[in-house]
Amino acid sequence: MTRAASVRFVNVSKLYGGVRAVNDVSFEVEAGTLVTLLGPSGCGKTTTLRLVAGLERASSGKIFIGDEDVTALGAAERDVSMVFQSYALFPHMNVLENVMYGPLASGVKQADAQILAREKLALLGLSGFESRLPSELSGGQQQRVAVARAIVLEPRVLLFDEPLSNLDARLRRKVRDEIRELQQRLGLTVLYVTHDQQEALAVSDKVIVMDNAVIAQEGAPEELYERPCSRFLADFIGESNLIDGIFHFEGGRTMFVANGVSIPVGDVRVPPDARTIALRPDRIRLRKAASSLIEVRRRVYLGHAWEYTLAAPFGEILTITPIREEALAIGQKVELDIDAGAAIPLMR
Amino acid sequence: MAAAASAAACFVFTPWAFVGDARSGLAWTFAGRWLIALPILASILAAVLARGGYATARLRVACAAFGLFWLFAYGFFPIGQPSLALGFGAAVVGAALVWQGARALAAAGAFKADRWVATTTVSIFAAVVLFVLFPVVQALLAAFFDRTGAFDPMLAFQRFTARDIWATDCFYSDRSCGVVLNSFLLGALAGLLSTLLGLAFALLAQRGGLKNTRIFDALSILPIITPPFVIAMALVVLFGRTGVITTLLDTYFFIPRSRWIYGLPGVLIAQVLSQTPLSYMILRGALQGIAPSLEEAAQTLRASRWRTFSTVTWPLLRPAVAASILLGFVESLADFGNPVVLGGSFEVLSTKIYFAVAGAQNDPGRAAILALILLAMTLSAFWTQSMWLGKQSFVTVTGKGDNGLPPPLPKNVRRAALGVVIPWVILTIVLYGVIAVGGFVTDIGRGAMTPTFKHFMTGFSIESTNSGLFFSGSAWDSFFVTVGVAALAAPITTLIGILTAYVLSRHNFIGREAFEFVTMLAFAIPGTVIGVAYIAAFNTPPIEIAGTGLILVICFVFRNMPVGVRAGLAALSQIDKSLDEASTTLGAGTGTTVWRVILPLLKHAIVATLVFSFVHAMTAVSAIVFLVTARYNMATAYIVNRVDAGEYPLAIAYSSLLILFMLLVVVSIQLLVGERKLGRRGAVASPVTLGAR
Ligand SMILES: Nc1ncnc2c1ncn2[C@@H]1O[C@H](COP(=O)(O)OP(=O)(O)O)[C@@H](O)[C@H]1O
Ligand SMILES: [Mg+2]
Repeated sequence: MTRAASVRFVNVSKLYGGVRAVNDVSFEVEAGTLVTLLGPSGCGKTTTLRLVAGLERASSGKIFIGDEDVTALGAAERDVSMVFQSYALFPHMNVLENVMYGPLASGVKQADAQILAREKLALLGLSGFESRLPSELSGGQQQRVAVARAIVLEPRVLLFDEPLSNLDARLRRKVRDEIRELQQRLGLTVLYVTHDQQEALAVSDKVIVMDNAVIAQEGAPEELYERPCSRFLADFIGESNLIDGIFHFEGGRTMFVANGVSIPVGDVRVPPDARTIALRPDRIRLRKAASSLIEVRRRVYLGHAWEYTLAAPFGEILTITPIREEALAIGQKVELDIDAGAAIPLMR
Repeated sequence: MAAAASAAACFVFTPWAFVGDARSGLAWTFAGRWLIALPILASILAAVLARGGYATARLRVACAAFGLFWLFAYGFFPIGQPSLALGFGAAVVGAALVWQGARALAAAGAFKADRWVATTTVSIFAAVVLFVLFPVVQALLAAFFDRTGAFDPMLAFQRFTARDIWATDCFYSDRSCGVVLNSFLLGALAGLLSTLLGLAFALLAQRGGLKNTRIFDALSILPIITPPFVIAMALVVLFGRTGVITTLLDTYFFIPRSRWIYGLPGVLIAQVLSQTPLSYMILRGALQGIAPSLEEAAQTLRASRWRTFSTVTWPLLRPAVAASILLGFVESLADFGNPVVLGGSFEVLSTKIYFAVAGAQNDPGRAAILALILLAMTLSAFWTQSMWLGKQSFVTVTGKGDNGLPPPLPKNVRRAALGVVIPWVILTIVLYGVIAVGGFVTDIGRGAMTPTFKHFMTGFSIESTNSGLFFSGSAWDSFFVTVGVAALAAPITTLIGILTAYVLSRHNFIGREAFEFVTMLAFAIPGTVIGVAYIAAFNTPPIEIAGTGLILVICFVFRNMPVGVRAGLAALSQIDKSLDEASTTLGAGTGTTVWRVILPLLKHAIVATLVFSFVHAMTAVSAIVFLVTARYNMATAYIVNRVDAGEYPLAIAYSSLLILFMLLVVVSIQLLVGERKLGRRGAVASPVTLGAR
């Protein structure tokens, strides 16, 4: 679809009374890409999305869709559609009427609206369900009707607010892939809100992580996972062991010293004031070493792996070891081997 | 533009005044009243300025405001000319100015720049100010003026401190107390007793292990379709000096005849009879809201049945009990029909107001003072209720949860409840039996039980003449007026009420609290006060509609509008906001959203409001006794007059016909809409909405 347009926020803030729900946020969603807004509950994702839709007006800053400044436009005047968390299907209209609603509201003739609607329903595999009421559909089908209704007007931007949260775990993955597929096939610009980091990593071209009303970091999924820039991000995206200490250079090797324990961290670029490292549990290998200060405290069987909780002088560490490796006994003393580049130095 | 154009057309071509002189605004202008043209000029100027968009928005608001101000200011003070009652032409010009002002406000950024919301809100606001706030304030101000219209605060003070208002003699002598004490005593007793009875009914229905509680529900719909004084009439027929039961007691048990029913006891019984079903509905709803699992939890903690009841059930029920008592109090204060029939020498505020205006005294200042006191008492009751309910919201917190079985009542509680409920049900059935039979016998009030159709012939005979049917019965006129006025008022009431609810529940704007306050004001003002206010305010120009059918319609619209607002608010709270937003993001304007999404989803609330405002309009007494005329008489006023003249049989015959008619209307609409629960569970049956009588 060629109508897809970019979205640009320039220093946008939104205040509710005294509460800053969105605080001086700037970002860009390029045309034809899928960008997720990720963050813990209450961090301002939904508010950001509603600002794009025009359901809320920015307290300050500017919002552009394509090259057009839409800051002052209402929701009905912006060429943006939204798939609501609750789907918001009109309960008194059947599937076809729901999907026809947009075209009819913008003055398309009944017959043409019907053609448009049927086309989109077919696209989403909903042919044959036209005369059902929303209450007569399963959760997944309702979700697809909501998507059909949102894309029938070929909006310049399509918004999703936690679209999977009302589906069961199995269906979530399927619908997630369907949304991504549809977006790529039609070349839509999509802004997608979720609090589930796995979902965000799986579907996005770019992830924008929000925390406390501001953007914490943005980038491609692998960039965020590999190079989180703060304790919050290292912990929020994937699991991390956060260890405080200092870097120490020893005969060309970089060591990280925490509470008297030296951990070889391989080859990393260390910012001068880094005082913390993040270690991903699956990037740590364990080696038996009788003289080590670190020992195994708990062992959990995960099916595909062993999960160990280690007791170290600087606190507990979580590691994940493939199941094919020999199981370690509780109380076993171990040393840590860190893959090259796997330790992430953090400043905050 | 269109607004100014139609206003201009009406200014040029249609009569400006309400009655009499048919000259148009333009004609008046050239007849020396050139100041009459200022509002239309303001309207035209605003239309011209509209091209300026945002830049001229504030100027246009000022234009429209000035036009409206002038329209009324010149109406009140037509410098050097006799005043004119504003009529069709003036109404259109006024409406156009309101419309233009609202649009200009939206253009200036108010109401989130939503023109639809601005227009709807401002129009409703203007109407409520004109037809509720203005008359009530003007009537109450009369308290401070003497008969010649001179300001006299001392007189107001004398009126206020009059003996017959505050006297407390009845406690230590055989003279009667003042109206305030009488009203308060009656209200408190009515509230307490009806709540006790309602509680007994509710406990039995919900926990009593009765197989069939249909009779309770059937009895609970009756007061909704029964004009308030009908019970009083039936009581007189049974217990009056020559009443059926009085005669039986006299003949067989040698209990002498007396007039005990006239006065506090009779009015109290009548009010408790009509209030109990409402208490029952409030308390039954509250009982249903208490999750049985809470009580089961108490029992698993080894609490006895009685202990569970007194430490869990009762505390959770207390807010609803308080609400029910207060509602009974307020309803009793507002009641006019029962005291006027049964009061005898026992005077209450509502009747005293009536006789201050309608009787030989005709003293608006006195009526105003009494109305002020009544209003103050009512508002304090509402205020107390909202303070109390504001603090005690836990009943709604534990809202649903229908898992578990409610524990049965402790035995002694059940026995006590049955002990009061059974006689009460029998009394109710006997009273309605009197109404049903009374119209078909010569004079049931004197024990003359010869079957006859005489009364129906007097009231409702139809003759077939050469020129078609001729409704020669004496009651037909009032019946047709009643049905016509009710049928006209109901849709308008519903429209305004539901739209108000929509605006209140979905939009936030500066002045929202004020808007909410004035729309709910009509709800708190007793009907007698409204009646007094209407004849005082609308009897003289610029708005001189007293004595017409129009004033009846307007009165009902604004009396019953809060019913629609409540019903709409309750229903809207069940509709997720994301539905509106979905519609908006799909490109629909607010008007389209309301029309295509909101109104269809509010279908049940709309139908319920239609039915209730229709029925309320047919059964109301208190406000309209002031407003009816020989030409526009209403059924209830007609019946009250028959009772006054001692023509009980005709009054009873008419009442039974009215009840039957409303029952038919309610039932057929239920069948039509397929809403079985109408009137019980529906939002409209919520206690507060029913209080709007
Ligand atoms: N209408 C509102 N009024 C007041 N505060 C609001 C409103 N909507 C959201 N907030 C506040 O703004 C913050 C961000 O909310 P939201 O954007 O819904 O978070 P998220 O979607 O990330 O969970 C929260 O603290 C929330 O309480
Ligand atoms: Mg959210």
